[in-house]
Amino acid sequence: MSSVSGAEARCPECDEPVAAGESFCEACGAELGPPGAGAAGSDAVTVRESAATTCPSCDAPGSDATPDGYCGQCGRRWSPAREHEEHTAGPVAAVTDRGIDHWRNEDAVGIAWLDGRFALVVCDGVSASQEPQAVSQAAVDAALPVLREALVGGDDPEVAVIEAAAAAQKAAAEQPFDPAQAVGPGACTFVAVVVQDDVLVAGTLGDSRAYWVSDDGAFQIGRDDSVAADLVASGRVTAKEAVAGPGGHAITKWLGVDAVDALPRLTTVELPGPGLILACSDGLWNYAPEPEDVFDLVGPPGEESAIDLARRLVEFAEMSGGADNVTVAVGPYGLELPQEEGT
Amino acid sequence: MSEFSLEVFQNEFLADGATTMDAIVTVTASGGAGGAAAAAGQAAEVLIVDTSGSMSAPSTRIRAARTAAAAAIDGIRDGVQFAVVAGGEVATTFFPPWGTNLAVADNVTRGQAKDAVSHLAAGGGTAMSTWLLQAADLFASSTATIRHAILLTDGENREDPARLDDAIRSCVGQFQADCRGVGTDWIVSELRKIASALMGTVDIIPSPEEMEAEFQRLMESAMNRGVAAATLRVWCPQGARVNFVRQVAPDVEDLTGRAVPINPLTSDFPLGAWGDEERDYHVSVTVPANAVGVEMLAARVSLLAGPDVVGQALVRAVWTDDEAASARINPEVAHYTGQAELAANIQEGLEALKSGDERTATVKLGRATQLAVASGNDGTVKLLRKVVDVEDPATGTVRIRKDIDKADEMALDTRSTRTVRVGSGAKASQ
Repeated sequence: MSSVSGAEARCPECDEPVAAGESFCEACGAELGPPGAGAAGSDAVTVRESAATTCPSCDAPGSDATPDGYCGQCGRRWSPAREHEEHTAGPVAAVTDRGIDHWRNEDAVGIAWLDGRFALVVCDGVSASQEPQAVSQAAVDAALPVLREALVGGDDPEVAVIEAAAAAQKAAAEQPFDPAQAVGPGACTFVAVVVQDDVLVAGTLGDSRAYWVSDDGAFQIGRDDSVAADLVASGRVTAKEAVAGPGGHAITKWLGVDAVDALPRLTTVELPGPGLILACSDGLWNYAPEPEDVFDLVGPPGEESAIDLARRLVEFAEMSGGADNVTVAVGPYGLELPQEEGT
Repeated sequence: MSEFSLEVFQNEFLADGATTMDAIVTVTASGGAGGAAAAAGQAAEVLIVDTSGSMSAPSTRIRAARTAAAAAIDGIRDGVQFAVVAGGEVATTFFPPWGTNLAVADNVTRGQAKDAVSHLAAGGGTAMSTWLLQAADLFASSTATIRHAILLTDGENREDPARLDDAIRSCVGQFQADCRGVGTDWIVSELRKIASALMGTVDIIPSPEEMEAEFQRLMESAMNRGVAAATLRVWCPQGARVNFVRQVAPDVEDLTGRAVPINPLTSDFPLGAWGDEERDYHVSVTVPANAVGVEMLAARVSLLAGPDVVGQALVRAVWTDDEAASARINPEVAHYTGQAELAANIQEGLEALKSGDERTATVKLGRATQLAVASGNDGTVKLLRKVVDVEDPATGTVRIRKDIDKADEMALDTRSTRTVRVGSGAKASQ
């Protein structure tokens, strides 16, 4: 199954559609940003679901799965939705996967690319909440258009990330929930990255992460909103100890109707040179908790396409146990990446 | 239209390698419109009254049967199609007088029917197969979907047992029948066979004067059934097997043998007509073993009203290495396992007593006493105490009484399958 969704270029001032290559809006006369910014089709995103989505126990086709999440043949708890989804847009790519242990994928991902500018957004549904897979997807679906709009308009990326988080929070909080249930209303994490000109802005809520990886090493952009991160920040334990400890995975910020607040932890970086930007859920970094681990894993940036890297990192998480859903989004800065393998 | 709700009670955790999953599924119907079904001509009722010679000895019996039949007729709602069958060596339609199809109840026809049954007379033999077949013929002439009969007898069937078995078989699915025996000369197992196959109840009416109230009660519950045909549908995954499906409340009835295969993974268990009531089912399945951490659906239990799925419940299985979690026995499962064991012990104990094996009878009825007391099944305890002297209910130490009244023994037998719900006793039976 595949679908193509491309945002039609619109004037940032009056929201009227603008033709490809135009420098000024025909409707209101507003300047349309840098040349090529409004080129229709340049930010087309291709989303592919894995063609052979089969039950992890008995290989029954995904069409046999029941709406309430069981394989209709062997009874295995399983949802084929977002079992394995691949997104590509220009040189930017993302993969989200159910992993091994979880019965459904509660992560969601979105990417946008426009002539060297790009945006990544990853939301990880909180398993112990109601319909987390719907909340995370709603959050991504609300955040992505805001980020895309900012790329088209060349808007302030900090404002864009804050507004994207606000839109995601609104969508997450609108998800229906049953107050009688033992688990709370749906919730998810949020990480959004905008790379525009020489600046990277990342906004995070919860423990989904953004990384910068260059020849010099890798570092996490910002930090987790989690009990573990608070402990690490206190200097008393290492990241490994903190995550392994009691409540190590408990997050202290999230999106959803019961969110503390939806103001993301904002980090702005002036990019020093070529490198890769990663956004991921904890399904990946659980198996590579320290930035050095991520650096070792990714290797020298620029040697493989974004989609190949994203696939490889997801595979690594699965080979390491796949205890959680895995999502990896990759975008290059100042790098000419090779073609996707096999194309 | 009735609203159905299903609830599951189970411990979903299985130890590594374990494969048996038990669950209690409670089905509750509310908001049913039995009256509407009657008015729409959807309900039919046939009264079958034994008029064999024994009914006149003592003569109070046939007189009581006339009164009881009249009371039952009074309970038939307007619009319900009905008839009265007199059962002897052959069956005759006593009312309506034309005898070939059913009358529609109103003040006039009820009056005519009551007048007719006041002339019921006893004489001749007992061939129950003809009674059932006569009722089936009458129902076949009707378009009603809710078809119910009340069968009253005082004696043993006097014909080749195979003929009765054949008749029962041909009536299955045609109508439901509640069977009542008056006095102590009838055979519990015979009526139980009819009632069980025709999805009804069996009970003793020890003395003729209790007949009227019993018939009123039966008619009222029959008239309150708004759903003609309910079905329990059980889906099990590939490689799984249904060990049994058993109704456990309000009484124990094994439904396993009634399975109608729908597809390789699904079977239907017909439940008959439903009113506003609650019934519990014990579903036991064996599933293929899975790795620790895997969750699977062990059974999907749906309730159908006619062809429509009106509710469902999920029986889950989750393999765990947490021994405390997997070792826990669900209180409802434990309770109803005990209630089924209680019914079996009573029936086996009484069987042993009949065949003169007092030792086995003592052990079985002792265990029954122990189970009944522990589960708070006071009705059954009371009936047991009329058959055994209880020395220690905790250990099930009893002595068979020397002066057992036949009616008490039969009451214990017919009511052995009655269960109580969880929480009736001080604690669950296991």
